[in-house]
Amino acid sequence: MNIIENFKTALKSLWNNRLRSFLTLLGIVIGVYAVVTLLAAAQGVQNQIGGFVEDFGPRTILIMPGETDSSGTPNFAAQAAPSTLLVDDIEYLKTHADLIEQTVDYAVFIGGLATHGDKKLSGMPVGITPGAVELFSIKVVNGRDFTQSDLDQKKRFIVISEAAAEKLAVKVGETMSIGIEKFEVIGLFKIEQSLNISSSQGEMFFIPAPVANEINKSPQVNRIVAHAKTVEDVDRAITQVKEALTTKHGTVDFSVMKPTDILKTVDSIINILKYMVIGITSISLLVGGIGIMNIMLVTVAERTREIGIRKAVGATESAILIQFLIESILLTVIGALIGIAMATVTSYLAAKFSPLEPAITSSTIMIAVGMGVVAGVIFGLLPALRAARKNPVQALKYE
Amino acid sequence: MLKLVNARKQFTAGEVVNALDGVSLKIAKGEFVGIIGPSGCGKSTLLYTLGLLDSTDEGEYFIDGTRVDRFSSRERAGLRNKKFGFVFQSFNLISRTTSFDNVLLPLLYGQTRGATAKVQHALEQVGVWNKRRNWPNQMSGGQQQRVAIARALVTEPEIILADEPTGNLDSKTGEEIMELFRDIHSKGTTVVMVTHNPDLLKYATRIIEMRDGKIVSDKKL
Repeated sequence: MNIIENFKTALKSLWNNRLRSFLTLLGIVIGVYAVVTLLAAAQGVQNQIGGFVEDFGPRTILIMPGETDSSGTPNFAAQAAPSTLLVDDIEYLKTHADLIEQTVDYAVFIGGLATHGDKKLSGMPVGITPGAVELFSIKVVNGRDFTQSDLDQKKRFIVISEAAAEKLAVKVGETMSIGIEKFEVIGLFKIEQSLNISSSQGEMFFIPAPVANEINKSPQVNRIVAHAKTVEDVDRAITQVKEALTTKHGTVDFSVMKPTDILKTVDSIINILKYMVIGITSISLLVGGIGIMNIMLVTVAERTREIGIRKAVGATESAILIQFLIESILLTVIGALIGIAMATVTSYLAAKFSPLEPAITSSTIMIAVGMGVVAGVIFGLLPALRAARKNPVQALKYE
Repeated sequence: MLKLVNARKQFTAGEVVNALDGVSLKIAKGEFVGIIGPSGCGKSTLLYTLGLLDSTDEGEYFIDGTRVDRFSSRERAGLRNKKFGFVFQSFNLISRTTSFDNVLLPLLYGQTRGATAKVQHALEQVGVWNKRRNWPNQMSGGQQQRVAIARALVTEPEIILADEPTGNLDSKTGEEIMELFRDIHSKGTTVVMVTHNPDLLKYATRIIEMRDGKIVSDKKL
């Protein structure tokens, strides 16, 4: 019997018991739906972070307070403690690391509630130098950004995100407050890539970095952004920066990374997450698969006579085996396709109504269909073997 | 054409039954063999053994001079498909499947070339071409048995093996089916038929009587 005839027979059999077939494949539908939806969400986060990191130039070197742990992952807990980096580290780097460019930017985190009139907003005000904007992937859409002279003169200027401006009902040229300090709004920006790290609603405030140091009454800085002079020198520049800062601090209380390192870290975390997703959802596929096996056993028992007839007219054991295997594979693959379709709709809705941007890749679809086929083979094999091994004479007498 | 030598077969489920107790038999091309005897005498087992659906515990079986009792299940399936056509008491058509597709079935496991024409020829030969789109439950017993005979004929087998083909039919319909077997035999096909109704054996050229797994008489008419 050729493959087309097998598919026709299988489809007919499934159609003859359509309600039963549908209920059976629900288990697979739910399993595959879970796999695809969760993998798409993980992939979406990975893409967003990837896009964010790509906004950095390939020569960018990022210096953060806190030691790197043994696996090379930055110590995120250290970010909350008082920063170990100081403003004069920057001058020191300029003179002691000749592989980096002379323009070194930095960011200073400050606290304080943003207010305008009677409107209040808790965001994350950050003091930056113009180049440090690279850290945040923003685009000024109204007014202007800081200039070096604003920084030098420690102007009380503020650039805020459109979302924050809307909530505070503040326009360019008006005055608003961060804590007790007053600032003139000189520009609005929109956030092109949001990692939702700084603020879930995209409410961000930037003030000149020296002003932030003044408000904090401290020379601490939270991020330093340097650039290697050439792409080839990035790794050597990082070594040089590390040596210079270690000499100055007397200890390694900071971490130096290139954006690709961050990407690698994030990728490895998300890949672990993906394996977990596949692992967890495999359990629901297992449950669905057992349902398939159960129904296939029932089908084989019901069709004992048919199996006897087929053998009597010349069907080999392998022909019977293949017939029933195709039936179970068809069942699971249809289930997988329905699951993928439902996950696609969910992902589309999630992208529309939530900050997530789920991405269903071709490899995700291949994994889902593959899981369907594998489940069909594994859970269809025992029933199909039973069918194939039936004694034809007894099968023909089966009532 | 068929030669069985000292075949033995025991059923041990529950009571031990000697279904075949040293049966030796030769069947030549063109014979119409009727096998009679009381139920449980082993006549169906003999028929299924001849048709390679069942295997013996002991003894040798030759088809056209080739020893086949040690054949693999794949080889047996191939021979069943080419050499034999089966007709059963309870018709054994696949339910919710048209007559056409039921008759097509043997061809799907063997010769698929020209299948449509062969199915049409077989259904016309038994007079139920007009029922080709009907499911078994939409036809009378006689019509169902005609479709089953068409299925046995469609591969143009050398031997038709029939197990009480009129057992589920009324006597008039049974007569008609027997006429059909006579036609098939007259065209040169060997027929081996199990029955316990001696009236139906008027077309047979040879009658074998069995009792307790043994052949007790073998008469050529």
